[in-house]
Amino acid sequence: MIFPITSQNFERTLMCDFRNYLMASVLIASLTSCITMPPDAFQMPKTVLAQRQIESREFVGISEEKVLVASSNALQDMGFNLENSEVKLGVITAQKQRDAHEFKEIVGAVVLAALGVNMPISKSQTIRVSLVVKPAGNSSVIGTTHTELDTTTSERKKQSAVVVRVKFHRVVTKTDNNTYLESIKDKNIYQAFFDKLSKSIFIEAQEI
Amino acid sequence: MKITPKQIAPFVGLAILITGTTGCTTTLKDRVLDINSQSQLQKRSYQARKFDISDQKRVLRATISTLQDLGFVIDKADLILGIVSATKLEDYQLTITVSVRQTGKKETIVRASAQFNLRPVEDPKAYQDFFSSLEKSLFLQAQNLD
Repeated sequence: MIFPITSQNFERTLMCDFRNYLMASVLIASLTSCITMPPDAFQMPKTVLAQRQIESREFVGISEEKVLVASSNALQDMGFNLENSEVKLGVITAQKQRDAHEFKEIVGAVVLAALGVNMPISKSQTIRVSLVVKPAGNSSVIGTTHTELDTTTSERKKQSAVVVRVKFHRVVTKTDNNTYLESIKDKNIYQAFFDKLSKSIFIEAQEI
Repeated sequence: MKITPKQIAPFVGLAILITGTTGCTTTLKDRVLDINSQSQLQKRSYQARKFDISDQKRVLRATISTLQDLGFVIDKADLILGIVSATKLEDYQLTITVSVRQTGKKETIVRASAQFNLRPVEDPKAYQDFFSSLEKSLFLQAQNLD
């Protein structure tokens, strides 16, 4: 924008322009939603097979129902509150609220506060999980756990196998009350979850 | 340096223009009933497909697997009602409800409706993508409703 600038009105016009642009952009941003749905939201991601392997484990020699019972116990061990379940489809959903403060964020915020910048940090989070049990099909899934302690190979083939697939995501609330949505994809978390689940299933299998 | 009404006027005008065109004049009733979106028949035409299968449980299980592959966390599933709801959180919130219904003619009708953040998803391409993914899980072809 070109306008005659004199030494007298230079500062004044600059501030006026800045303030006007700020007002305009705030108005526009608040009245129109700028985010549109990504076109691939319903398309299979390229990482689907890798993701499936991280999120699934196969268990042999235990019924679907017992795996579900063991899973609900394991989720309860981890502090989850069970929300919905449908045994005939093998679905359990659960959630819990926890603190979300992270050391790195706090350090960063303290440094920025010293410079006069107020950065909101994570405050609390709701973690949601869905666990689905189904009979094992022909798809190969790594990490098979055998619950029978003493079986021959041919017997093992006749036993039922079930696949447990679990997914986590969370909603984080920051100190300025904005929320931040995130799928949890860290494979270490899933590995640790299945370690706990395996123990729970082992206990369940022993009580037959 | 005061802000004069003359300075504000163009922005108020801009705000009214934007408000009018983006439908911010919708009322609570419009939002409860989703009146400003397309007609019911129109929506059902692209939100539903039928499959040549009469096993509702199998279709529901395939739907659950497909949704998990697409990155959704299952919220609710009900075999008798034939319903699965799921949410995907990825900087945005995408929630989908799928209902599965056996018809008398050994066919199953699958209907999906999704919500992206605060708006219903009304793009037929999104539903086409979903049904393509579901077809692969079921090893069956999806057909349009007549």
